[in-house]
Amino acid sequence: MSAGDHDWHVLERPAAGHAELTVIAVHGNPTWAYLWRNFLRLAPESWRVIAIDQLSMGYSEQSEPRRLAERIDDLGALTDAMQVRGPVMTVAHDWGGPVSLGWALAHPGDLRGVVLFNTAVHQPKDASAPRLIRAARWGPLHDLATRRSSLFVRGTSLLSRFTSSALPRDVAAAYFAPYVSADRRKAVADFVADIPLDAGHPSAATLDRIADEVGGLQVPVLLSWGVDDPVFSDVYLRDLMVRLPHADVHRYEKAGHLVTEDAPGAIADAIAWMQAQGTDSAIQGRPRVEADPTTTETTDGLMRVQRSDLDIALVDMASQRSVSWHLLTTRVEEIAAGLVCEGVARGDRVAMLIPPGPDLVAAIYACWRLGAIVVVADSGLGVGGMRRAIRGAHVDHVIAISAGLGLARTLRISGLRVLAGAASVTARRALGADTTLSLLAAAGRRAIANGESIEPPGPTDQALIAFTSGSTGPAKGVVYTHGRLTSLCAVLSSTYDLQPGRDGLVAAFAPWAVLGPALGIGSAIPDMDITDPSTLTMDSLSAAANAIGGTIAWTSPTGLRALIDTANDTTQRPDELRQLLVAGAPVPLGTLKAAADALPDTRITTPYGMTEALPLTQVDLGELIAAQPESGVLVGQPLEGVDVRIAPLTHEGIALAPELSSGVTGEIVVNADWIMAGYDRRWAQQFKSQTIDGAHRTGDVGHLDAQGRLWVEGRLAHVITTSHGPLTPVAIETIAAEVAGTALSACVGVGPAGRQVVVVVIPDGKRSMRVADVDLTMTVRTAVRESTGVEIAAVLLVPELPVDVRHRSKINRARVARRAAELLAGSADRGANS
Amino acid sequence: MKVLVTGASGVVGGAAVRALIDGGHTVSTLQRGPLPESLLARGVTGHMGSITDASAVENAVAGVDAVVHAAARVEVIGPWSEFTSINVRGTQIVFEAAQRAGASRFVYVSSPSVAHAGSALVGAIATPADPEHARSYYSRSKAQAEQWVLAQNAGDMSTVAIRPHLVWGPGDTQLTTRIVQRARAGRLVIIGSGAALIDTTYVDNAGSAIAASVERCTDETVRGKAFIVSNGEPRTVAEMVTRIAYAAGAAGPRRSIPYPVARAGAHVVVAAWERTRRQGEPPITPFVAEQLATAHWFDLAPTCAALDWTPAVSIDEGFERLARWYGGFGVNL
Repeated sequence: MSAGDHDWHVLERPAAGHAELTVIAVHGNPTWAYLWRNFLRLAPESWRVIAIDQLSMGYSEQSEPRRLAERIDDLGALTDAMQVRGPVMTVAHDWGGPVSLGWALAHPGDLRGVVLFNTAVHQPKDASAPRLIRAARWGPLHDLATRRSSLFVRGTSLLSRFTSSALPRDVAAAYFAPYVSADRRKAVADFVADIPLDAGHPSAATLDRIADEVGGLQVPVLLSWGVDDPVFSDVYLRDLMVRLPHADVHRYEKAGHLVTEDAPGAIADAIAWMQAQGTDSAIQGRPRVEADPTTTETTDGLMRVQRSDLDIALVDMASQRSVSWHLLTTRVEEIAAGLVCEGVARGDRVAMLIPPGPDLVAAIYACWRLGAIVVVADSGLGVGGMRRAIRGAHVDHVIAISAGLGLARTLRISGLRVLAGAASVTARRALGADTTLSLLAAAGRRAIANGESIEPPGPTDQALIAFTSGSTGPAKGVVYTHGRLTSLCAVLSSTYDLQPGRDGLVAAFAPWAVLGPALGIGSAIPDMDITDPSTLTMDSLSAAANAIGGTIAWTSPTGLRALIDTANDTTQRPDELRQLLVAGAPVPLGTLKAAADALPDTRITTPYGMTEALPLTQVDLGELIAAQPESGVLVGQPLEGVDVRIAPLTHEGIALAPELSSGVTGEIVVNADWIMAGYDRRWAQQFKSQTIDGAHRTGDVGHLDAQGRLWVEGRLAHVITTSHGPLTPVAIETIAAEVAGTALSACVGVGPAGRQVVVVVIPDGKRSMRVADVDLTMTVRTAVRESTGVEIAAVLLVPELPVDVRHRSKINRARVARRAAELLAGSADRGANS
Repeated sequence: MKVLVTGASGVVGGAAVRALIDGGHTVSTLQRGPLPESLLARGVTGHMGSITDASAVENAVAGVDAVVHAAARVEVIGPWSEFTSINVRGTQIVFEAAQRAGASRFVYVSSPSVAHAGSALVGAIATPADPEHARSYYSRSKAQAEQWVLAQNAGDMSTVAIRPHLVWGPGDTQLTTRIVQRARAGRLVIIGSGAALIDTTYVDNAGSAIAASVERCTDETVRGKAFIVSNGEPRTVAEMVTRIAYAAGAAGPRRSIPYPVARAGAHVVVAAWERTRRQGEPPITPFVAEQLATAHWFDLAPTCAALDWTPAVSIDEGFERLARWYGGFGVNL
């Protein structure tokens, strides 16, 4: 392609017929148009896609060194020559970003959208320039690293998935192909030399202009980021997010600089984003909006205020610290004012690294009072998972116990570091703490005395970012607004008939340990390791309940088993406890019956929901006993205000549009005023999980029975797609475990989607995975066939099934399926290769 | 229809004859030996002769509407020339004679191994025959013949290839009898883990699929194509081998030998067999070792849809019949 006196190498995928959209894809340094091969392959037929090799790069003409301004003009000349008109979106990576943005700013009339993968338009003050580039720019090393050797080119392909493995060999070779000679690598060197690291650089003015003007872009923007990029780290993403507050963002975990290679879905996601812009479905990728924000009242940052009350608001049984409503509300106001004095502002994100107790409650409600967003990552994620979660949430400040401050140090948090707990000045310095909660409260007292007041946040302001358990992949941040949390408290109050002054909450399950004040009822945290539910005892539950007149308690299935196991160790019982809620995972009927025997005056119910949406339904023991068996686990009638629909499955196990009908098995789709606003910085996740009318696709599969009760049959990802249609594993697992005499069994599909065979895997505590003998195989097969009509191809034995750490009951079926598929493929392949 | 079945003394050919008679067709046969009494009793006209004997073939095809060509050299060892003369040239002789005699349907009984390059097949569909990558002389010659037969599909002549996978049942001397003999001798072993998932075909299902293909041969969704036939019930090798032994009242496999050992052993056995010019078949060949240690199961849906056919005899029913055939000595599970 000839344009502007230059010969260009361009990959073009023409539109079939009239081009509804033209996409201009600009690579960075030192890649070439090969970067966009999957974009060309996956783009809709009605799009014209043009992926250029920048001049002197890839297979385009070797020219004199180009400055940024020239590169922008070059691109304009090329698009003129190629007669690019009508709606255009730009897509760019790395230093292709500024070039594409320069072009975009020059063509506002045609521009419809901008997609940027790991790039930058500015060196943020607090970030050192990308160290690798600085190293490559250092005088003699520059020439050696970039031109004379292939270090820089090779290095860039290595930047893919920097932390784990490199690119497949053939892909790496294709990236490297245009740069085999030192001659061709000259452009790479020139490009590195054109990166302005200081104001005096010839390209600095152009880049500054782009950085200043980019905020004026009116079109939709997608920032798509590989988070493990040592060059364009999250600092550059944050810089762009500040300049482009309306941008949609997706951070890809475990993806590096070459995010399009490392995150297999990134290109398809970008295309989905581009297709959604300008259509109604664009909202699917954005946080849910409140139906009518004006009707949702918040109460001074969620706390149901009882200022003058000297009753106990919160007691921590382990430390015997108790706090009255008067003290708690006063302290919350003071800490909030103190935080404002220290520069914490509405919308700032504050990580909490404090175990449940009075300090955590005061700190959280203080943040809510001033409109700061609380970020909680529970220790169940592990240190690595917590660090990843907090880093990904772009936390501004941290409030932590001393161990948490140690973790925070590695996260380069730019704002305030608050120590929860007392420490000497020296110790504080050693921990890197700027202040403590007590000092904040003191500062706040002075500010309040001076008449300073804080405006409370509104219902659409973000309040909380909580992380999913992450049992399937990296933890996802889930955003709740003040309005949604208020709705959550309202449904809890009405469902469980909770009245301030009368009821009390025993919080034996971490996520619920802070909700008491928002419900307006006193709460007690039992003497236990709250992050480990198995440490709960009947004695500690009873003591906590009796300390506050506890009428309702929350625990997990593990906690419930611990209660049953310790019931005979004590004569103590929670005297006034009328309800016990067991949340987190399905509870076997036998366990519920044993619990009912131990606590005869307490109604035991199990709510159904997930971090994204809770509670949705609930069921009690009596209803479970009375129910006729159906496929799956009965989770009960939807709560008032919950909309439950079912999205039927296709032959290949893909969920269609949701409908409300009984009998059909499909993905469970829910909506309620208290479900999450959305996923944090995960546009694609949000887009795929949110229906056009704002409902949430849960990823669970189930059906509604004739009475409108919901039955959960497993995860969508665990659906087995046979040639006779999709089927869910839970019913088969129940029968197989029963006839095999084991607590658990796993049912998985082996083979390609739509043609899978059904395999049952049974734990027997013995040696590695193997085929069961014919007798057991036939017994299981016959039992499953008789009660479900499903034909089992094989029964396998394993020492034990992989289950989640938290509940010990969620089977990692994906892993079981992989291992079963390997075994059933036979040994000849492996033998032949060895 | 008047239908000629070649290789009718074989297990698949015999099953095809019975299914065709059940379907109301007039059946004649061509095979090297005499026809079994059971078939003669059902009114089958038997021709004796080799498919490489042009005049015998000419005589057999006279007046038929359709030919089911099931005759083949199925041994796992032997010189290439024998495979090519019987399986490739013999097929051409039968087809050409049939065409001259005015037959318009030609069903070639093939084998899934014509497209099997040795890797695991998991939920696979029928892919074109691939003689170049075939793993044995048998597979390669069958692949060449299948390619040739499907290429002859044109105009008034409809051809189709049916690939029954691992046929077993009463009368099967290849798989069933061998397993039973070894089990009775206490020498039955499992190669590798025995976990390879394999498709198998109860003999009557192979017959009914061939009969269905004769009926459906001229349909546009059928002619010129190859179809895999099986029970559509993949099972592990260990289960199949054990249940075949049980059906004959013998004990199941006592032990397993690792696949690499079996493969190496098989190479030695074949070399020794050929060096000593022993007659008959060696107990194991590398091809068989690989077949018994690698998954190969298929998606049966395209076959069922195109042939308007389903396997009528389930594996469980098949084992009951096999146990009865072995005189009720079998332990029926």
